[in-house]
Amino acid sequence: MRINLDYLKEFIDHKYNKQDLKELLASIGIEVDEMIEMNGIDVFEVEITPNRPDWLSHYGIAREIHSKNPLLSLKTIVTNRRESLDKNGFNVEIRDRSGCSRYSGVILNNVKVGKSSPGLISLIESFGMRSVNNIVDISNLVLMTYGHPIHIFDLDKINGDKITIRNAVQDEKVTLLDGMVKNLNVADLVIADDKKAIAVAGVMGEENSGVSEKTTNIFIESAWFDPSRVRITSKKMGMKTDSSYLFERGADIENTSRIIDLTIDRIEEELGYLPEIIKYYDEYPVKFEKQIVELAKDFPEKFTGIKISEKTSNEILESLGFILKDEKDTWKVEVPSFRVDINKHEDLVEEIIRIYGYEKLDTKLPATAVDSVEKYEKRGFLDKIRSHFTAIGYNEVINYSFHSLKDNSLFGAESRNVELRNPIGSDYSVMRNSLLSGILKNTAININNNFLRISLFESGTAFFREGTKLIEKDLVCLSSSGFETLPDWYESKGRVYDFFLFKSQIFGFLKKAGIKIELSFEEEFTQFLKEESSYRISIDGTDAGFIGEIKSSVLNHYKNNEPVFVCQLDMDLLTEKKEEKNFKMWNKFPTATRDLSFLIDREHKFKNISETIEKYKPEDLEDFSLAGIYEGKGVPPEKISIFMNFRYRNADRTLTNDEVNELHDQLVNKLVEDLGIIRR
Amino acid sequence: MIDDLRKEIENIKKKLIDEIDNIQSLEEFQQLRDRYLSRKKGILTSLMTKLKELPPTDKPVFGNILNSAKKFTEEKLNEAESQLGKKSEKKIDGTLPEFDTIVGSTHLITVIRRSIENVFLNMGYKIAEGPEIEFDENNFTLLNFKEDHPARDEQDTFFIKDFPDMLLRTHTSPVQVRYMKNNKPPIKIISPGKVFRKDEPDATHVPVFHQIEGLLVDKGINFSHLKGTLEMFLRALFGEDTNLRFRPGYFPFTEPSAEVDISCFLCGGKDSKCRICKGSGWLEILGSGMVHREVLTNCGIDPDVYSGFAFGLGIERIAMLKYGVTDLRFLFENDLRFNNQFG
Ligand SMILES: [Zn+2]
Repeated sequence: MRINLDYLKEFIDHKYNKQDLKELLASIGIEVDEMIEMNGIDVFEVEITPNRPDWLSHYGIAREIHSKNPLLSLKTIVTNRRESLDKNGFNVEIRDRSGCSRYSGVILNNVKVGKSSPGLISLIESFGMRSVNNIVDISNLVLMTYGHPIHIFDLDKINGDKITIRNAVQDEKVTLLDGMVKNLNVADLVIADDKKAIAVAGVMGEENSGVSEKTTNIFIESAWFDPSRVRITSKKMGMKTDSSYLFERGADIENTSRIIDLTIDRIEEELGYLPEIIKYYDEYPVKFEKQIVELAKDFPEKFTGIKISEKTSNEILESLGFILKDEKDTWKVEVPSFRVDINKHEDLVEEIIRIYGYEKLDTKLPATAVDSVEKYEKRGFLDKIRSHFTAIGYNEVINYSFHSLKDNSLFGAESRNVELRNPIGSDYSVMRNSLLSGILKNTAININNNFLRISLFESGTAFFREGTKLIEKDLVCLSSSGFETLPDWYESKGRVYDFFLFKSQIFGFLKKAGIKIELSFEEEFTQFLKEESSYRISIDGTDAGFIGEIKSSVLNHYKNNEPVFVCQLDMDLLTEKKEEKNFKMWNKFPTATRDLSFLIDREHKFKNISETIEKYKPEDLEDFSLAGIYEGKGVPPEKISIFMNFRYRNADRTLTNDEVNELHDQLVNKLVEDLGIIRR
Repeated sequence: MIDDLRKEIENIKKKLIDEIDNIQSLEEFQQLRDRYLSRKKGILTSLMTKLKELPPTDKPVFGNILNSAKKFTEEKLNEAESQLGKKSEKKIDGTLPEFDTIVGSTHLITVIRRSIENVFLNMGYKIAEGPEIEFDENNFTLLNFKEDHPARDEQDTFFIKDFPDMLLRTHTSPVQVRYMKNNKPPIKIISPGKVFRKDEPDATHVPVFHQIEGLLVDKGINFSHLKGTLEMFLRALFGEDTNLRFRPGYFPFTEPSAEVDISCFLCGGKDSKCRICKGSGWLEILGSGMVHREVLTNCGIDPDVYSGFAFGLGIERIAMLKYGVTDLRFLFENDLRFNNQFG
């Protein structure tokens, strides 16, 4: 809302410069967003919180400045009711008394509609509004001055002899002042003449009922409409007007009739004569009930932690328009009708401390102690992942949680999409079903920026629909593309990521954390991974995620053609399966190493070899490892040559050469039998 | 025969010592080691073949002699190697530039988040987390955002299609609601996490951002406790001489509510062109207040027995103020030219 500082002075006589005024307003909760100068006048753009409709006017702001500094003089608004001719006009009937609890108005004849005076135009423009004609401008001036919306009809456009405030009928149509045709339903409240709706209550008038240059007789409406009814209608119609803005926050029901008088004053002032006052209206079927809040005298101190004298509390509340009745240990506080935000004793304490000054609050520390300790296993493990992988060159990324439909379709089934009802745009229309999309976008951007080494990770949530349920999964996703070690004077060729380097970094970490992983080819993931490296990772038989190389059709979507290796894992499962290890005494006896070099059919994966070894593994085989792979010259094309080391050791004694040889030969024979290896 | 072998071995040892004395370089040393100990052709190793020729009784004796000779050789060679190492230390040029040692980065949001969490963990707060898709009830209604009240407009909300009562949480307060419903006071928690508001991305708005909110509920908690707590926290984050300014504010879930400003840590209000405070000397940093009685009641806590305070701040805002990030979108683009500067 705009506050014209010159106009404000008509209501409160103050000597603050604009900077001090800004500070003063801030100290009582009115934030000045912008200080503007318009035609030599200082104007504040202020932000009014939704609980304070009584601040949405110059007088409201003046009243508040006065309570902060009661020594300033606040203009008293005097109204007097001019005599009316009390001729016959139409009748007013309120059919929905909760929707419209008060309806005041006046009929004026002989009104000369025309261009506003320069003074009025300048005022209207300083409020950020456009001058229309003198009568419309006055309705805006009244709103900006006293904070109550009024609506002015061209009397001669009203058909018949009755105005009804009623619910719209289903599919009733109304063409509004701005030319838009709106469809109404029974939840909407309208002002209607004998023929049709002439206004949507509290929102906007009908196209033809408004004041124009030809108008001579007018009907001025000053009503009170139910805030939530106005809000529902205005929201549904997509029409936010100055009027609906105020009504939905809560207008002062006790003020409607006074507003009529104040409007007549302004019209007289602007026209230079008093039009004929034909008839006044004031239907008030649901009377305002005075709100009384009980405030224990010691509660302000209890709730703020500082001593505020009874006298001070009393004075502050009275300066804000509250009426206090002293009842020994408590006050019975009557709330003024314009304070729709006050209904409990905490509210009153806020009023007291707000004016007394937040700067007077004490600084104390609560003695509160909690009686249990959390372990934060997942948080701890995530930090461990973070510190490990950043130490070996990975960069943490954070992406939006939104995907396009296309992104989601790359990594999962459409039936599991969690869609937004009101996305910002089609690029952000569903909740992500994987962390891959973000990471692949980030990789592409950085390749474009000529980064040669792009290792990334993100931890975050992915979202899935499962029937009528929504599932959130905590995931961690890692990726690598390009170099692991850049070429430099020390290592002239550098080291480039491939599947095995990537896999070794991730599995090495998981192993150290005591997580036992299994790898198996998985058709499902070939949706986005290359056929030859599409693996499911399982832990204790439970799906934990995948590892592989992104296939080129998916890379194309992200405008990248450099290989990217990725791994995505379930954080909850990792946290559950990590193990703390106990100390084990190491074996003090010497190991006996045996080598084995053999040819094997290519169709056998290394996994078959290691599983066969595990199957027949003698107790004294401590471990075994792959030492080399050879293919090419000297090896038949359907075979591959493998070189392995086996380490034998007994827990209690040194094994003899013969014993080791025997164990080893037995094992090798099994490999020959089961896998058809040929020893070299 | 065994005696001949013994003599031969003694000669080998003597020769070894002579040869060691004459070594000049690591290369020569390597050759020497190979000559004596190489698995296939080493002088000592090849003596093993003689074992076959010995009578059974002499075999273990010879084995022992050979082993101790090997051991002797190893020791002498190791000794020599370390001598040689000392000599050759002079030969490297330590001023050669270090090469790229591959250190990645923690995201700035994480850096800030953890630093704030750590302050509160030190102050005895617990961390509570919750889902990002929430019930309207937890995100709004129980927090005293009345149905059809304009306060709901202040937090432009994303809704979930086909799930009319579900939305993307607009703040982490619903975590506090969940916590209060499931735990009896005293309650002392912070709730960090992602939140969502329907804003087109620009330099100062992003539709996904991060918040940390705090909540303390106990008997006898008052507004001054809030101020003391926030002063301690903000001084830990921005420096010991940080001053606080409380201003009246409005949040549906607190009453009274306060906006909190800190004194500008960059210029202290002395620079009229200051990048962050624009000369005002104050920076808006967080929102706070005493927990609204309605909220306590909604969560099963008696507001006439307990009172509490709550506060919340945006991590992205700290990134802008404290780390000088000029455009919030940088935080979500993950351009390594940005990410690499932190963590
Ligand atoms: Zn500054």
